[in-house]
Amino acid sequence: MKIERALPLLTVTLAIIIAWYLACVPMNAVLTTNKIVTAGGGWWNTLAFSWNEIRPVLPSPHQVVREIWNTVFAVEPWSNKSLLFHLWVTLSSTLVGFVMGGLLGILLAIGIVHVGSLEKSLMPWVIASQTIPILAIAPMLIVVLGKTGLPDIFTKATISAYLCFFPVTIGMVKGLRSPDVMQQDLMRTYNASASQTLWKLRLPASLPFLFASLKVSVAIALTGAIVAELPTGAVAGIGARLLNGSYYGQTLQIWAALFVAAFAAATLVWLLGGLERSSLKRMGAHS
Amino acid sequence: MSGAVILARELGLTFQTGDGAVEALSNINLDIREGEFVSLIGPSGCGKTTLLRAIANLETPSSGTLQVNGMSAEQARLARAYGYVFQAPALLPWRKVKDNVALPLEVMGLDDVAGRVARNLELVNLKGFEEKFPWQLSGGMQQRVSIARALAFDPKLLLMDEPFGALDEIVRDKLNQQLLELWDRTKKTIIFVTHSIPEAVFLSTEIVVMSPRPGRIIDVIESDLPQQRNLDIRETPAFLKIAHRVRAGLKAGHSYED
Amino acid sequence: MTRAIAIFMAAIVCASLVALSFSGANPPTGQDWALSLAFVITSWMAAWSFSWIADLTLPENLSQFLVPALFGVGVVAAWQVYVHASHIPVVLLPAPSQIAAKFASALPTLGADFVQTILRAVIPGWLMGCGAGFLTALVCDKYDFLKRGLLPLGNLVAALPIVGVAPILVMWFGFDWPSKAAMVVVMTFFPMLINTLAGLSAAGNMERDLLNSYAANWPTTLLKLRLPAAMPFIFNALKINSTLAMIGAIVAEFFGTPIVGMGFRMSTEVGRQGLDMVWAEIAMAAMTGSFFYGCLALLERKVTFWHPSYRR
Repeated sequence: MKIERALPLLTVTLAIIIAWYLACVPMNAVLTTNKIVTAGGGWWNTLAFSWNEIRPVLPSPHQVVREIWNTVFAVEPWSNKSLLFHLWVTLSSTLVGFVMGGLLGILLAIGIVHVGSLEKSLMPWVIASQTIPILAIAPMLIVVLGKTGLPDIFTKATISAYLCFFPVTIGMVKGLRSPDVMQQDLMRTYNASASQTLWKLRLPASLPFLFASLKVSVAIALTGAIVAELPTGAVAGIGARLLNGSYYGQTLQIWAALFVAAFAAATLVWLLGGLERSSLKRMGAHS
Repeated sequence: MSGAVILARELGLTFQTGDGAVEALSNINLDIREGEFVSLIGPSGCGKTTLLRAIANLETPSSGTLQVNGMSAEQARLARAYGYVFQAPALLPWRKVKDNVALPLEVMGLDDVAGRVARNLELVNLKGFEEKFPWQLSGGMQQRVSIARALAFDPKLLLMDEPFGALDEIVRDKLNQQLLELWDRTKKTIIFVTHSIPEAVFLSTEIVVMSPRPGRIIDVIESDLPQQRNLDIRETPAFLKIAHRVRAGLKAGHSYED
Repeated sequence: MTRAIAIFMAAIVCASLVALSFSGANPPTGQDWALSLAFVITSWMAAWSFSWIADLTLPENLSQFLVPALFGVGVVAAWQVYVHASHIPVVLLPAPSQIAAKFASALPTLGADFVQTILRAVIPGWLMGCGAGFLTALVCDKYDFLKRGLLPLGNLVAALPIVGVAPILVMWFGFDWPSKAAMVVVMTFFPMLINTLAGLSAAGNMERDLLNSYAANWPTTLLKLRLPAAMPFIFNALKINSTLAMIGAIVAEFFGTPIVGMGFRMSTEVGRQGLDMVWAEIAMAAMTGSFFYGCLALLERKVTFWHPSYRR
């Protein structure tokens, strides 16, 4: 059974990698054509030059792997040459923002479900707020919050929190309202108070929705933390590395930072997925 | 008697599920002639729906032979030989009633769409509801639209899978009566799956009693009730005798045991 | 009702007291920050409790619109009062009146930015990205092998910080609007792919068996059953993508752009302490985003009128 699922994925991935290698040739041509001609032309020279440029337009997969190796495993993790150091800077504000945003989202959802006027006055604005490209406000928010004297990590965390509270709110509202009418009536026959119903019925029922939103949120929070580093000319963090690489034309630096960030995002989502499976299993869910 | 419309010999069907093989049908031998109204009755899980779906080429048998109108089930489906009515109306919610009935006509490229739609809606007593949307109709009316849709392209064979199961008894009685009148008027061959004994005995000329796991045919009962019937026939001794025989067949097939 | 009125009165009184206690010192002291927080909370409570009263007294269909509108008006009014009471410098937080004034006076610049970002990058990119995602989904639907290979990758990519490819795109497509449009395509492709595939499997089993019993081929089944049934999902993706498109275009401008564009304007004005211009750009972005979203919602209502979520 498992091979059926793995085979298409492996095939597509392999096809992408092959296409990537082949694409290096035309993409880097502007840099390599002269060198190839000087070396005498031919397939071997074409491939060798296209796949090993120092500042390529499109780096080849093994170049990216080598750069990641050099900046992750070959340096000390606390030096500012290490991608791990930069990753940690970004991750720390991501996690703080994620926790803040998650808590805010849950509290807001509980409020919305229990207080009708809160929903009516607030929900349209919450939804409208998502049509504003919030990431674009990041520069301004950074400046304003920076003047308050709070450490950098909180200003970045605020951006992350703002981005991730919305999916959590929407998901939790759906989840808190998910118990069907019969189950709610059951609680009424016990004369259960609103808070008892909340803790015994609504919150447990909302867990699947909460986890689904959390997985979306953590990815968004990481994005937010990266973008928050852009406008202030920060020197540490994934976003800073991206900006730095962009200014100085260090393509490999950009690609390495991007892959490390992608890996971090995938790991965070995977960890949450594991947490989700174990919690839901304890509550009797079956796959 | 006219030739056989459905011919099944030693038909078997086994599903491969995650928990292992499930034998849904075993050793089915069945002859259905043209113009008959045949009910397949049995408890849940006895394979009656599976048998109907095999005839409709929506499932593939694992062994044995099955012929529909002298062709294989697949050829019959490609030749659009039958109309299928499901347990739920399965109407497309974005189409009005008249467009729902017209759906098979569009797919098959048939003409006289407006005429066919009007005639078949009249057959099911829904004239005047052409412009309504499905959710504006009651469950019983939606199911009648579904029947009109199955008749729209005039197939000789009608396959119905517990079409009235989700309706209350009063509506059900009325629809049973209407279905019988429709059959009398159109002279189609109807295969009708149900788990209600009174419904099976009331509607059919022939009742096939099935038993569960694996699905086998326990008994085939030729009904001697008159062709023209109304609902009062359900209290006559002849009716009760047939119903008794059906019940005995179900018991013999261990249908009442867990 | 009495609770609502009581909270309202209490909040108004508290907010007024707080407003009077601002020292007006420049730069703001620690006490001023605490007072600011108190003011924000109390005025929010006032706005919300006023909406609560409105909700209780107005008929249903009126209160749907008026309650959030009143809440919004309350927040803006409180903002205006706060800026004046706390003497907060314009470089930190301009008043709504100042923003409106700036908006009116800077209309030509705003217009040029709008053209560069929205008309040249967001809209073409959104159309291309959604179109490509849709077509890829159709191909994946036909060839199941491709679907099983591409869908997990799509879910993975959707979780990644896509904005990170912005510098790479600027390198490939240059400083001007093509790289921003490319960014939008990258950001909108995968949500459209994932949602369309989800929508294509939304048609029920019974309905699919029905079309099978008509011996309908793949294109017919697609057009008559699966595409209409997929519309709610497709519109969901289109709406999500309208937001992602704007974010993508603006953030891509942070990485390099000719001297025009909304993202460019925002980042440079922040550097120049011209926060009222930043807010004016944000207001324009908000209006554009809401208009875009609203148009999609209206279209969605027409196309998916049959969906149960529209019936009360």
